[in-house]
Amino acid sequence: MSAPILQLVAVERHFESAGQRLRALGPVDLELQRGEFVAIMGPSGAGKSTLLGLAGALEHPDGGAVFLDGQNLVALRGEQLAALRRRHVGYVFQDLNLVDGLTALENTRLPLELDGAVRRDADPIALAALERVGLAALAHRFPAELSGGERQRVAIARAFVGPRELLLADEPTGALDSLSGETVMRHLRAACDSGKSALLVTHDARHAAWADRVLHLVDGRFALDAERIRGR
Amino acid sequence: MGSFRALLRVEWRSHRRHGWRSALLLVWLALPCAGLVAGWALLRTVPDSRREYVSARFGTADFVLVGAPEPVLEQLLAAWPADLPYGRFDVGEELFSTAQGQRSVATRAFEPGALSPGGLAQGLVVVRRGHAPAGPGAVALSPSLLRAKHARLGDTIEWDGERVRVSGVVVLPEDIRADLLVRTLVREVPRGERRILLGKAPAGGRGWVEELHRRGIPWEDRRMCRGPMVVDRFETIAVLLVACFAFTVAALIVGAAVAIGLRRRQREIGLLTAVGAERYQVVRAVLTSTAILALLASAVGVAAGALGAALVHPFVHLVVGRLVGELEFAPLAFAAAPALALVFSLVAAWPAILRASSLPPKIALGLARPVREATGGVPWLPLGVAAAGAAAVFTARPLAEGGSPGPIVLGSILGILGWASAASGLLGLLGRAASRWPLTWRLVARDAARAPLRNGAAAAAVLAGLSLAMLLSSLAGAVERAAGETTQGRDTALTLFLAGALGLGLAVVAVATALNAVEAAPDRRVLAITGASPHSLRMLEGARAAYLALVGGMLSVPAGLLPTFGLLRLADVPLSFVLPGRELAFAVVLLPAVAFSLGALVSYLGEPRKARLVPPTAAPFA
Repeated sequence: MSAPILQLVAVERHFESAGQRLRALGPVDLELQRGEFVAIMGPSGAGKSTLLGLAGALEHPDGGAVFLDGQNLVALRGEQLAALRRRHVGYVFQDLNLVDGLTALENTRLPLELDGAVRRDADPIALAALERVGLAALAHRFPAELSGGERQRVAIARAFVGPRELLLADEPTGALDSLSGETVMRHLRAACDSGKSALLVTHDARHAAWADRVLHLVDGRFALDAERIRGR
Repeated sequence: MGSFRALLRVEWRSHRRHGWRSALLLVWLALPCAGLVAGWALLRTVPDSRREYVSARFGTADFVLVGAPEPVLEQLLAAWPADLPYGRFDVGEELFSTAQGQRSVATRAFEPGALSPGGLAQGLVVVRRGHAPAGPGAVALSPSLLRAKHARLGDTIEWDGERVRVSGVVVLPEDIRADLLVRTLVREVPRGERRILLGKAPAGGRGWVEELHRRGIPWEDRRMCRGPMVVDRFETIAVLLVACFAFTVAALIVGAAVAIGLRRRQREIGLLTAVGAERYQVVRAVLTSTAILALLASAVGVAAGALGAALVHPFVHLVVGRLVGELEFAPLAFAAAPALALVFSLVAAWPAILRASSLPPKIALGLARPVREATGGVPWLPLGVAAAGAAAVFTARPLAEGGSPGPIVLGSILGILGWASAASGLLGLLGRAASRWPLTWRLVARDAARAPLRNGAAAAAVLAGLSLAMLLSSLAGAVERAAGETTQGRDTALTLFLAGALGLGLAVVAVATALNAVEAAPDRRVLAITGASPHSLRMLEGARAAYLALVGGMLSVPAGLLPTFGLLRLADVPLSFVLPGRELAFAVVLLPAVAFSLGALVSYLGEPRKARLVPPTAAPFA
């Protein structure tokens, strides 16, 4: 078995509120294998989004270690973390996923462009990513000209563009109707089936059912590891 | 009423939560109020008032007889009614030798007691220390003369071959820096021109006037003395115009700060409307809190202005070189300051409030900005106006060749207006044409194109200041080249003007950039999450500021040079064109570079610290 793409070891996160130190998460351990699709469920305030933020180098843990593709994120700073985010991790949130001033194609090729790729090289890769989510025809539209479902699909295309292999999704279907939500989940599943990995936070059990594994987070700790292997 | 109070409470808590922003608003509104009250009071005090002017010429007398021959004056005084006071004094000038050469010293000679309280000459000369000379063995000197003689009050000095004691320090009220010597009048020996002060006009004064005419004695009547040419209405208009300009600058900043604050509170306002608050209630609450803040600021400003004027007043005579009267506040200033603060702050805040309150709750709660795409094509109309202006300037016959100034002046004005009004259209056009630009500049151009009117106005403000600097510099250079000499002080004046234009440009660009950055804050977060390095984000904010400065600076080149050509054609002597190289470099290089550096620096200062690695949805400027 190859090394996990993501590994959280005894990760903790606390927040200060009204002079009190509150535990938001942990200590928790988690491993995400390559090609695996894991869903995390739990009530509001359980620490799901905090876990996702720590996994994606959006914030540092107060304790423990986060390994992404073998690298300890805690040891990295500013520019190194930015490079890691654009090369390895894609994010999809409930909303505000796209840069309004960029077209669907420009949004999709953003990580490549930020990494120094020239447009001539980046465009075919970004177009292929859009093709995979069925939006190549809308490549030159701005986000305002796309529906909510289409915007999320652009975000998924961007999350997996180029060599990026890990997608972190925080309620990506929360603002969508059920049909659009199903489409988004189908694209996530297809990406994982092609070798990418995904960590999904959701409240919706129907969407969690698309995952290989479902983890329940309660009060900052995993309560139940309901593993379910889909027939692939 | 209950709902209004509840909404107002929300507003005040917001002000308390963002204390620094509210304090900034308060200071920006208080400053012009303080300036208005203090400036107006000092302006009223500094010019020669009629009372001061008359007192320096007549003392407490009603008439002064000037330049009549001594025997004629003596004849007149012999017939003067015994119950009416009169007094003689001499006005002269003597030379005083110093190591640096000879200096001219004004001399006055008064009868003993004439300068004391109630004396007729009181006010002609002011005794600052000691007392006026009471006899021939004493003199009073001005501070400058005391310094020149290395003497102090009470010393004995040599003057005009005599040894005299310095009994006092005196100044001429209208020229306190002048060299002055005051001595006692010797009736039989006039020292300079003998003048007579007549305390009161006798009964049947008309007959005396005719008598003075008949004898050919020149005289001046206190009641007929109009004083210096001070036009009160002009002073009022000038003060209010300057105040309006200061309040406009303050309003720009207040409007931007309110817009930024409301943009950051978009979700909160969305919540208020979602729970049932009507739009007019939200508008009323925000306007009321802005009005209260403006009135509070004006109270602070008026108090600070009054205190500042009182503190500065004792030192004003050192600057203006003459004694100034009592500090006199303009009652209108106390009413105008709060009124202007109120009107300007409400007008400035109004568009932002309307915009924030008109967002549908769904959009407001989602925190997304209402997306506006870059619109418009080539701004043909403004560019056509600019082209027509240029054609008028270049085809008109120069004045030296018998041409008319009309087309040249009109063409120059059309040129400036055309380029200024083309700014917003060009921003829209650049936004649409940016698809092949590097990522940073593409984003900046498209963001600027989303609010073309606001950003166009910012670019036009940069254009206005810089084009005027170019015009003045080029014109001065052309005149100097024609005259073959360099005017002293020209460079300092032009540099100061250019610095002012740059400062104004930077301030306007900063305000517009802050608004653009706040609106693009969600994009900034997406960029950071997608992998933009902190350095790239700093460059983005720098480019945001530099872009507006660059567009304004580039447009200022044709807008500034066209009227320069026009004015050269208006000259009645042939003048050659001088390229204002320094101003051009400032417009297209220095201003954008400074704006870039400041934008990047502010971005750096606003970067998240500690454990959070990605910026929240707020912009660094907010």
